[in-house]
Amino acid sequence: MFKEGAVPGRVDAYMYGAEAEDFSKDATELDTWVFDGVKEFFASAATNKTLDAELRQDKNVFFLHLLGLDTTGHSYRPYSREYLHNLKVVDQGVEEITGLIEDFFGDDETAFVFTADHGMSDWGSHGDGHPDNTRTPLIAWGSGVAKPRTVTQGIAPGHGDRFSSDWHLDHVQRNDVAQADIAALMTYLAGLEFPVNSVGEIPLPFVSADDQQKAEAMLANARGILETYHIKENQRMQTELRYRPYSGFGDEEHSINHRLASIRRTIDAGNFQQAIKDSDNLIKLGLQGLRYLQTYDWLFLRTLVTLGYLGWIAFSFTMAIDQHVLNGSIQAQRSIGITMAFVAALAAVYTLLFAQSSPWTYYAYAVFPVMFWEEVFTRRQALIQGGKTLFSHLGSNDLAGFSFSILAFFGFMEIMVSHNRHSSGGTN
Amino acid sequence: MYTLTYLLLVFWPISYGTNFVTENWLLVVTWVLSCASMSIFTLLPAIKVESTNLMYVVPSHTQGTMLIDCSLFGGSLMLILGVLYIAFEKSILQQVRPSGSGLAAPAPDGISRAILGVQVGLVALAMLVTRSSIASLQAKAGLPLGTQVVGWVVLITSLILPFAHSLNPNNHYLHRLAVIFLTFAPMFIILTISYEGLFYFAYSCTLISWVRLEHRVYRSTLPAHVAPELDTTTSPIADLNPLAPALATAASRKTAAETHDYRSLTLADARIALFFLYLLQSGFFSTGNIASISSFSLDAVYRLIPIFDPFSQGALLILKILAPFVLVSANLGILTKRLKLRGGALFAIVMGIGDWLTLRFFWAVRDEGSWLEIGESITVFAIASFLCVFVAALESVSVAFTGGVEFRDDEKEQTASGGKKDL
Repeated sequence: MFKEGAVPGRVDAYMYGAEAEDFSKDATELDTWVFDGVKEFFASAATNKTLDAELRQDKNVFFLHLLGLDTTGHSYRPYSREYLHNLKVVDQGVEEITGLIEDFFGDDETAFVFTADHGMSDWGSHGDGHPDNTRTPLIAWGSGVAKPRTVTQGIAPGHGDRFSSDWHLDHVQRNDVAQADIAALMTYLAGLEFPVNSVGEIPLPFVSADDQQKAEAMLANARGILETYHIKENQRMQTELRYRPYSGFGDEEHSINHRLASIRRTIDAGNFQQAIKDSDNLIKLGLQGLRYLQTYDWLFLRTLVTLGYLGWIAFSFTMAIDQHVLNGSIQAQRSIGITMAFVAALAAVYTLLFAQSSPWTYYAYAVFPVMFWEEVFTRRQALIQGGKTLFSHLGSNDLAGFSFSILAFFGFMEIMVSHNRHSSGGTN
Repeated sequence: MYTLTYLLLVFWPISYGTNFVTENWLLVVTWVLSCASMSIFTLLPAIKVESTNLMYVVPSHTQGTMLIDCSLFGGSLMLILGVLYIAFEKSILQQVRPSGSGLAAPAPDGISRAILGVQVGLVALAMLVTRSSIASLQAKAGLPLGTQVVGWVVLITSLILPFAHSLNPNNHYLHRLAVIFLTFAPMFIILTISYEGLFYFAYSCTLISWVRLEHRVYRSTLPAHVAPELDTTTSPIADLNPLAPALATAASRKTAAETHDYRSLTLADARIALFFLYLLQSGFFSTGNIASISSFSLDAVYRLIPIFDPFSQGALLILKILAPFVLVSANLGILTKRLKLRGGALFAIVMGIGDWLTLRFFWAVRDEGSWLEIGESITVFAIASFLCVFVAALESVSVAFTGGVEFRDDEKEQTASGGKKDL
């Protein structure tokens, strides 16, 4: 599964079949399978000249996927004997593989990055925002990786949220990263080019390099992200009739090229700290720009959907009034003119959608508002009559009371909405 | 938040004035008690999985006992209710019937009582079966074939048996509601994980006292036939009820529309629709049933299907989730008829209000945060949209379940009935 989508020949994968992921079996086998595989693989290089040469090339990445801990955690929960045993198996495996790699290459030129994609709750689930599920280890060591910063007394920086207080590592500085940053870190450590669509930023505290190298790396990082932005912006410009560019890169003064050139000059002038800061800002701006492009037509879509729902509401009430207040005494008034007007409105929206090569679902969203509002419009007499009937006995004295019950009505509905928004989740 | 709303609902009858409360005090007490108990459910832990899972990991004796106690307690309440109904059926149905009604109301006769008796017996049997299957599953002794078969027999019989009532129809609405209540009771007991049985009981009580209260409210705000319309505002607190004038409209229109025996919708009916939607949503989202998708647990269905099978086990879970819906829609159907509204009138308003909620959820959909937060925001929106369409289906369900229901108590219903008798 790690091969899919990659340039053919770039990724070689070795994996066990799906039947090995049996939740009822001892899942440490999934981890030992990987460690044993790596050992055999490097051992076979002794007799395989081609493999040996390939392995000794620069910029190789070895990716070991250790699924056993995840499976054991789900099946037996994280405080079980099985899970603790699995931890030992993985610790020992990592130690052995590190030694094996260092022995094989013998040049101290390998960097190691150890991490996980999620944590786990006490009952073996993950997926919500609880720190138990989201905090994961990121431990890097080896070539190009900075040594940990420690304090002799007190608590080192980065432990402010106390999530890590039970790790007994309070004397070591904690440097939090976003998960996407790990790819950027690996890219930097291996000296590769930034991957397509990468939105990560090199976590500089992990990097052992002088300021100039860091400044250059950050500039390259920014260029990668802005290239993605550039491509996405072009795609958007091709389909939009009237494209409104992202305000962050709006005028000449703030254009991408201008900003990049400015950072280049800062580096050339030897002002590396400033260049790092500028690149950092530019990366964040680029990510905001990507977000801008991603949500570009959300307002339009949401308006369309909202009009549809409002139309449905109006239609429901109109029908209720028509059928059950006025007992169906008022006929829907349709004329050629009205029908033409609504058809024209739908045609106008469709033309716009077609011109912007919108996906077919957008066309469906546009049908509902037109359909419902047409029905409501042709029955507007029923609404007027019904409104008169319903409100006829409301004198000016009742107005305060009536407003109060309207408020209570909407307040009640808001309570229902907020309940589902805030407390139905988040506890798992 | 549902706790808050249920506690607010406790005070709802009081807004109609002290006269109203004193006249219907037993009914109001039932309403207050059932709302108060409903408000507790939302405070209970949402994830029943947690406790049961812990129970599986660390087979703790106390937790197991608690589970059995909980499910059996709910079952016992249902059982008591059923037995009480059979015992007092005659007096209940007669009490709410005008004295000297010449209409040939089928007296609670042998066949009907026998079927009811069997239904109650099934509730008891379901309790026994569930008790033994929980015990043997917890002992990791597997599910005995006998228990499994009896469980299935109880489930299927309880769902089929009510149709036998058509042999000897008793169209009194309380009888109908009792039958529907007993139909789903065994299923809830068998499929219960912890306190859903209690939820089912409290939910049913809330629904029925709601239906009766709405009817009383409707009647109390109606002017007497001879009195002028202004009489609706005699009670000083009724002045605070802004909808009273609208109800007066209803009354005047009622006389106008007397010929087709249906009354028109009024503004006050919007409240009924809102209450229905609220009860529908709380039946779905409040912790008594399922609180969130993550609280799904297969522990309960293992009692019927011990081997993992996503389709049939999922079907059982859905059956359990749908049961309160059938109950609530049957109640709304009865209410519609009782308030002399044309079928579908209330459902139309429900759909409009439901759409508003859906729209609010639509704007609350997020694409940031944890999987669960994103997933929940989308799921709630999807479920709310689904409910809007579902309401239409529920309407036909309610038609099926309330077909032929008659009310013989509209004119001279004794005000003294209430409490247990109401149920």
